[in-house]
Amino acid sequence: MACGATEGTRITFPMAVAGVAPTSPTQTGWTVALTSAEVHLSAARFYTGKVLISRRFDPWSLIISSAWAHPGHYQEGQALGENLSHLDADLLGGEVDWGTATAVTGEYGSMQLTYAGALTLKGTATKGSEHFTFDTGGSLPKAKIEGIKFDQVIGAAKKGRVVVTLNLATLLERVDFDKAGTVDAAGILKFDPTSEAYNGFARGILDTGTYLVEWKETQ
Amino acid sequence: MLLRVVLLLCASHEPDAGVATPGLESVVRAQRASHSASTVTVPQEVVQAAPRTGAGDVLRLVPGLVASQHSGEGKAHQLFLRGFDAVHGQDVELNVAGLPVNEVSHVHALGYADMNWLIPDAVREVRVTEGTYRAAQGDFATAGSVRFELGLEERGITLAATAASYNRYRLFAGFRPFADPETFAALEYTQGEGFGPQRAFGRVSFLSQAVLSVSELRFRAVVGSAVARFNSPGVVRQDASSDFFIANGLFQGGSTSRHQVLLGVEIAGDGKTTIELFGVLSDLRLRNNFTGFLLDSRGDGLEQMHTDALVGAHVDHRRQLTTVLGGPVQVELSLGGRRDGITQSQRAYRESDGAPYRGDIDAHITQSALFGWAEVAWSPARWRLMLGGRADVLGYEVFDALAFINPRFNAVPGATRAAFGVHWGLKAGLERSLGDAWRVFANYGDGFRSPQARSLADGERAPFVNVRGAEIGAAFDRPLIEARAAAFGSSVANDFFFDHSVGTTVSLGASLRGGVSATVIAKPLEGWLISANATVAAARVVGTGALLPYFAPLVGRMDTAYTRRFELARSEAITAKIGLGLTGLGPRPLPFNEFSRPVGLVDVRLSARFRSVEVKVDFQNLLDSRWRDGEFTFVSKWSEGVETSLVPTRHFTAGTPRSVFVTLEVHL
Repeated sequence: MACGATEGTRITFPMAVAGVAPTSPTQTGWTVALTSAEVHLSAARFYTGKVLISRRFDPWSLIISSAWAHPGHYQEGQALGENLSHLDADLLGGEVDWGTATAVTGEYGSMQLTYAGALTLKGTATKGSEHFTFDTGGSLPKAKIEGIKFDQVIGAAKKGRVVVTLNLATLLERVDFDKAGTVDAAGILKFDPTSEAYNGFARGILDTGTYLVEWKETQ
Repeated sequence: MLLRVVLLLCASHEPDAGVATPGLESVVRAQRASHSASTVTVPQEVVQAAPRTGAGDVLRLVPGLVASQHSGEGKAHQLFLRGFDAVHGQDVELNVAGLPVNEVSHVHALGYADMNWLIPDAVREVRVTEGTYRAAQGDFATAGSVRFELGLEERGITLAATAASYNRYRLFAGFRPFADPETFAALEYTQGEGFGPQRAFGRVSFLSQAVLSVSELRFRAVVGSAVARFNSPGVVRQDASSDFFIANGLFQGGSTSRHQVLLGVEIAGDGKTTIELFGVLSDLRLRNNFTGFLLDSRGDGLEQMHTDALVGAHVDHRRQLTTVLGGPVQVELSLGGRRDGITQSQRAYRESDGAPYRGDIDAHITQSALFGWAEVAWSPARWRLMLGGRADVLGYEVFDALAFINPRFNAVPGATRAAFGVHWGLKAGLERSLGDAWRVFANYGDGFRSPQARSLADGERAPFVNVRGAEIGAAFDRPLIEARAAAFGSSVANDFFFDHSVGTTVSLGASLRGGVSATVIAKPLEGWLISANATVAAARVVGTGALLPYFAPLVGRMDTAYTRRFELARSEAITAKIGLGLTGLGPRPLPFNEFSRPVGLVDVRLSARFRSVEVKVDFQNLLDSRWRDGEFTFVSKWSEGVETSLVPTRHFTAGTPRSVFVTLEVHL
């Protein structure tokens, strides 16, 4: 009777998560080799609101001043899409399927990621004569990471998937393993939650530049 | 599509359905001819043909109008007409015996029109002018205008008591002292527990009109008062509901009061002049929470309060100016204005205990509206050409008490704003008589909707929502049948869609609406009355071509009643009536290319009258259809600490299940 359609259409698309391990020394001079990167996620939500700026540290900012990025300005409330399935994965094992998101068509501007539990990194860190086998531990500074940039128009005809990639090198950039705590009896450097190293690790998790969200077309 | 079948069996001493009763006085009242295919007058016999338990049932008499009650028995209905989602009245101008119903700059919704105080027994006729083609149509008449004329059907004293399903009771008392039905007084008290949790209500309403003719003067006075208290059930989230009738959200509901008076005089002579003064005091307290804990962990519930003191007046004059080429030239002119003194507030309240925790709105508004309109009609031979114009001038003064409340920067909180604006509207019509029964029409009109006062900036030229409408149609009028058919269209240059369930306004840009409608009122046999109408309409956003959501593109309604008098011994008689009401709504477009479920309802009335005692049995939703009164798509969050979907999802309000009303009526 009412020929035509209202604005938007309900759609679904698959999601996946991946990790990129460090391949060069961090900003603090450490060479890190990861043996595991366990992530536990509970939700991803997509919003219209665009991120104002979202980028990593730009050396040019030392010459030309600019404001540091901060997430916003989306509005808590209506989501364009969401994936509420739980994910436990080791990001070093390649791309991991993360279920299917239910969504509607529209202009996507940002993503919110929700951790369920910890992001735990294990491996070795070497700088000069110093060498540690480390474990970042299981605590999180904050469960929800808001305002991750995702600029994409998704229409009903588009077939694709969303891949969330965690840049583990970016995540560890601020970590100085010298200031992480003490080595336990098993020879493992476990991050003290009050330490400066943990502070750097936490800021890395909260840094939206750690996350790259991409729409990958499928045939 | 189910059909509402109303069977009405009642006996009457009054002439009805074309059956004349000797020895009774008759009042002859000439009905003004309609000048468009969408002008319909619904007579009282149609009004009384089906169960009318409240304002919503009376509103559904308007061809093509859908009245949804999504928040209990005290809140204004949500109206849909001709492709317009009028929300709570922003696109349908409602008037009761000269008293304006739409409230300007209302805190809940623009043009808020609460009709729940109207006593159905006191509705004498319903005058519908769909479209915006007449100069008399003012603010909020973008889809059309509806005027309810008052009067009691039967002379004498009428007392009625009703017991109904779900512990609902009603007492009614009315009297009409003269042959003229327009002079009467009526009182109605109604209470009930409702068909589900949080639906209890209580309401009392008094309505009275007096008409007195002295020489060339006809005086008229209308007085009314009403008070109501009601609970609201909220909306049901489709994907998280275990019971069709149990919604979410505590502490919802409110209270209303309305006190009104109109004094008028018609002066016959050289033409006709009408002077009317009116005043309305209205109050509303309303609590609603449609989204749960989506925006605030304490709860998204909003408590809104709105008080309006309205005074107004208008003077109308109608006369024949001259004759040109054998055709009379008539002019109709009206000048008038109204002033609304408004106090409004909005606070957020805690879902746990109903205590307010945040103030959002605290404003005082004075809104003044003055208007002047004129129509000139020339009727040579079988033609009638009409040209009219209207000017509305609005002035706003706003005191926003919550502005600038930071004591670090402002010693005195609050900000004042004032705005002013003018709307000019053109009206035109062409009519051609084809023989004695047929007429064809073409009409054009500019309509408008005034803005919300708090949305205006200081010194702003008040922006109106402008509507241009056009229509072609035909009318067939015979003593036993009248029919109308029309094709209509309208464009809105700067449309917006206010989703008041979540409190956001979405600007749509330009929109287009169009459709066809047909209405028939007939008396095919002695004692048998049929009234039927159907409207098909569509509304689209011009920029994207997308359908506008929520209104029903197909609306059908039929009311039919059969009256039969059975003679008994000793000159006694029983008069029985059977009435049938049928309602059908096609699937309504919803956001994201979805559609609601169709609705079909059957109402039945049976009544019998012996001497002065009448018994009525009404069945609403006879087939106990599980239907959705309103369907919406938005986001809500009712579980704290649990991940719930934040993608817009389906919500609905449950329609009334089968209800039985038994009424004992005594006529003295």
